Amino acid sequence: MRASLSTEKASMSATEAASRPGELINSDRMLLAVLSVLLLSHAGLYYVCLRFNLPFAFAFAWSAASFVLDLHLPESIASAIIENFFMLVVGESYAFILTIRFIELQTWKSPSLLSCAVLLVGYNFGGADALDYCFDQIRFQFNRPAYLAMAKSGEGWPDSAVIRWGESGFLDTSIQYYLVMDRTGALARGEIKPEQFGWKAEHMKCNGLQSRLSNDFYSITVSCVGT
Amino acid sequence: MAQELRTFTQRVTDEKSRLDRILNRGGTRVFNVQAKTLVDQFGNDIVDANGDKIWFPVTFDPSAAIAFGKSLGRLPASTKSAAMLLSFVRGGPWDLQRSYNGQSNAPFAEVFTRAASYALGLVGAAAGHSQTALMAGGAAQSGSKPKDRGVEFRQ
Repeated sequence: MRASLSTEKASMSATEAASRPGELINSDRMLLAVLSVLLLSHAGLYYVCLRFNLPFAFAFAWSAASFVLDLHLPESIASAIIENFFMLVVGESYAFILTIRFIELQTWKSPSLLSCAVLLVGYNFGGADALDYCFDQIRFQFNRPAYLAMAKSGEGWPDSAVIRWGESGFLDTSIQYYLVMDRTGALARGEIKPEQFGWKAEHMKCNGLQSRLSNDFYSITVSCVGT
Repeated sequence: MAQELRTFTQRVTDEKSRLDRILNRGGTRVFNVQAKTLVDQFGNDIVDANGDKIWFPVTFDPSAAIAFGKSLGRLPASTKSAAMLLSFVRGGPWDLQRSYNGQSNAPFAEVFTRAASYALGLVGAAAGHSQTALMAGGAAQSGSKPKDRGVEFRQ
């Protein structure tokens, strides 16, 4: 009886050991899914907050800045951490999980985790902007008939239309968004700079960016800050 | 020093691009704002870091700002920052650059930029935020290191 129990135990622990890597590999896939949703949510939250003047992204930035300053780090380091706070937190969590996984499995190999690394690096270097453009496209394509109707009712039809597409600001900063229809080709040829759109006070410095959404429509972003 | 009252002329420009000319939009908006200085309990002017007087909207009441800050201080930490920022974002009730002459969400009045920062400090301190947190938070929000596009205000 005792012998059969110990055999059973031994076979169970062998099964557990064998099933463990499988569980970890499943968790790798889960991690990839969670990371994708997290990055998408982060980009989406900023998209909505900046266009619809909501304070949640600002509140997050504020809390991050307060937290880092309480660590009393040198100014240059604190500034760098504050600017990249989200990516640092996500990246460090990822590195921690990767370390635990390596201790358990003694291998770095995992297509899911490699995809996570690519996602993280990609998000930081242009991926966030690419998502922003995707959100612009989705918003534009879903409401295209309404925007065309607005353009038709404007004075510039059939050549041009400027539609306010959102604005936010804090203290002396302003971020303005416009959806511009330009059939004159002036934007495409660079005759009109994106920073020429929108309002500005006397002592404000503005930067602009344009992205083409279709043949005639452009998304324009104007960021202004007091000098 | 005594409190002063003055009217400032402000200009906000919608630059006329070729598209704007086609649309007949843009141009410069000129408007007047009524402003006042404040003095402390010793009769000294409230000044900025350069020693210049800070001009406030005539309706600005520092005791109301402190009372508002104290009411925020009773909120849980997780919601305190969001609630405070909600009142300071563009067009919020404590956005002094756009709340003046009895209007809210009015055109941006540059003369009140320093007053807006002062009000943020006053409300924030009353809410229990430290000076360093307020300065860092304010700088982070207002994009003291502006990049090319708004999305880069993200953290």
